[in-house]
Amino acid sequence: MWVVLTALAGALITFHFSNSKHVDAVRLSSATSLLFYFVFWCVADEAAANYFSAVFFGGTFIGMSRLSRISYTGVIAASILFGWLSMVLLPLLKGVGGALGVTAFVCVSIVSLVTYLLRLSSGHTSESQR
Amino acid sequence: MKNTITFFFVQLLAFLVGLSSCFFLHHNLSLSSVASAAFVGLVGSFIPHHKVFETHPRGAVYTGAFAGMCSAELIQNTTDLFLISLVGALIYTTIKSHLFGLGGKLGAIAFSAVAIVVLLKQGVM
Repeated sequence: MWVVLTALAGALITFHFSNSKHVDAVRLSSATSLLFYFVFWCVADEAAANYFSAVFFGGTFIGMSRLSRISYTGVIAASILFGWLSMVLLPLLKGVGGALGVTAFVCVSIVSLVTYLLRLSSGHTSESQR
Repeated sequence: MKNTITFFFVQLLAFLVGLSSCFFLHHNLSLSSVASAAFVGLVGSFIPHHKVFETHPRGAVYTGAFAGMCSAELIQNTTDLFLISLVGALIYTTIKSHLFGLGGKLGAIAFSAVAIVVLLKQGVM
């Protein structure tokens, strides 16, 4: 639950500010992750700070998507998927650079594909009803 | 063609700087991998916008930083650093105009570069 919420926070903050306020996505993702790490490091132990900041960091990668590619609902869905997938995949890819990014990429791609297929099938349904 | 080659070398340099800086902060200064990558990405995000390269050097520094989150068992020497940068810059240059706006693209490039070099070293590929 906390893992999903952390990923969701990272994704939504980055997505909202990079798309509506036109802040550079790289700067936003890195600055918020750094801030999150230091706040968590001050209030919790180092192991928890490392784990949750990694999840937040991964969430910000989802949030680096453009609004033309994925909607707010899509970002929420991808973050939930990331929260679950990170618990399964990340222990297997420990110590491999880019593991968080590739997990985020897989989640965004799955959500984009499902959205595209749903749009395609609803287009076919409305056409056959005419 | 000339522009693509120049773009590749700029990306290679940016990737190498991001990768080495993050790896150094993580392993030599014992900073956490997330804090190291985020710090390098934040510094890299201040690279000025260029009319030809646009904001790609910032992206390459951040991609390099993701690759630099590797453990010391995977990146053992400077040759590894250079090889990962070379493969990463090559992938970045090849797909720069594809998958635009898909989150995690930079991380996927970093992961692919690391995986290719590690598999090559182990003689799998």
